[in-house]
Amino acid sequence: MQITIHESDQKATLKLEDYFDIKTRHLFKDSCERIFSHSEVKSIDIDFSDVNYIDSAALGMLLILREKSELAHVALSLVNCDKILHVLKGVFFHNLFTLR
Amino acid sequence: MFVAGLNVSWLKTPFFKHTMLIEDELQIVTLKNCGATVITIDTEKCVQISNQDQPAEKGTAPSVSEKLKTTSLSKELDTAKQIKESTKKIMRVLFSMAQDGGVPKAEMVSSFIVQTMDSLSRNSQAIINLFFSKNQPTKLYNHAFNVMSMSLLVAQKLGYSKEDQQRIGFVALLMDIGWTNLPEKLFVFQSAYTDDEYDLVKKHVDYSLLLIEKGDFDPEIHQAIAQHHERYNGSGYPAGLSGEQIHPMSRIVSMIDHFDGATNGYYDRMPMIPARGLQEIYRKSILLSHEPSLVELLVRLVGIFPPSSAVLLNTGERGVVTQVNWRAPLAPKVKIFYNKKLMPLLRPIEVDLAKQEGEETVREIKSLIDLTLPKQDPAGLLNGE
Repeated sequence: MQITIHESDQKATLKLEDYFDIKTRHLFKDSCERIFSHSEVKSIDIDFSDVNYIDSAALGMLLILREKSELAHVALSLVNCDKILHVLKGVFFHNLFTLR
Repeated sequence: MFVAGLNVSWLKTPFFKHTMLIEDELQIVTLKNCGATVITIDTEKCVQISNQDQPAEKGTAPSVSEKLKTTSLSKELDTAKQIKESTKKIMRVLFSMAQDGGVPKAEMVSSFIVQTMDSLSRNSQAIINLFFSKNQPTKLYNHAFNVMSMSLLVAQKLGYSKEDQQRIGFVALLMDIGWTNLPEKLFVFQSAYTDDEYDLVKKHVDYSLLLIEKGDFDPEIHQAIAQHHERYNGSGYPAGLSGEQIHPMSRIVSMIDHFDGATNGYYDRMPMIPARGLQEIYRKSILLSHEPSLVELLVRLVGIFPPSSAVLLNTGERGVVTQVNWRAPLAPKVKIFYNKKLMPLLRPIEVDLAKQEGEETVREIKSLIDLTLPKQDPAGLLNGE
């Protein structure tokens, strides 16, 4: 699992790869903290185009990120989710997140 | 017609209660045959067809609307299974999130509660059958769905408003979220708790409240979660409240929590077959651990022989209860797998024990089969899904 961060102006993109699961917890948390340490960030995209698997722990991490984003008034979107869309819809994440 | 009493001993009739709504000819025939010569009718409780959408009054038989199911059991079972699977998934997510310090919110689970309420309204037998399905994972997320779905069923039968049904759904799903701070091994039966383990287990209530308080749930939900281990006779924890001091929603979920724990082997309890689990709850209600009227309602809803019970018939055949018959609790639908010589049938047959008019041999349930005993189910047919 790798996470690549792209930051430009007030937008940050986290591009995840392959397996997004419990083993990724610290890496994902550290990446998010790095982004939030830049107070100018107004929107975050999580890019799932290269993610092949997501588990319940990872979904839980997304819910925590959603909470942090709301508190910081940062717009959060999950993008390129085709491969894991059935998992996200299975737990009604389409009602909780902006999916693009 | 609502029967308020019969002049014959309860033991001599096949009815679970002598106060009941008469809804079909079979009940009238059974009434005629049970030896009663005087039947007392409560005209105020007689149901008009135009009232069919009204919830069942507390203490009465399921309403006439039970007859107006819009979905067959097999179709609703498919839907209910999907609801259960997706609810289990979101609960795994929430429990995982809670371990990382995340806060549960109402919007994360409300859709699943509404879907379960709708399934129960279409055909509640599906949820009942799922509750009793065999080989369920002994996991917190599975328990959460079971307690939520059966608590909603009880709440619907008691005539709770949609808003209060939602509330009881939140309570049931989230009351044990504090367990995520405890060793998982304590949740699944291994042996009786030591005093230290039991002290630790009791803390899950406080842990749950700590998480819930950060969310967006109303005070009534907090109160009901805080009291979900109180017992009607005051023997519970953490405050030792009793009777009406305990929130009505807590009284419902604690009974279902106990029932699911007894049948599926949670906490420090050895799993037991559903009918035995029900007997335990009934015994506890005599000791007033649970509110007796609620236990009565539960027994009426799940039947004396709950779905998935392995039973021996008077014909020597063996089968599994597939569907409760609320109007004749001793005569559920049974799927027969073995003939009287204990030979497996090539094609199992399903019989409705309440509808055997004109049959040469009238089948009745003789006894429950304890599948933990040897040679009761040689082909392993009575223990399946």
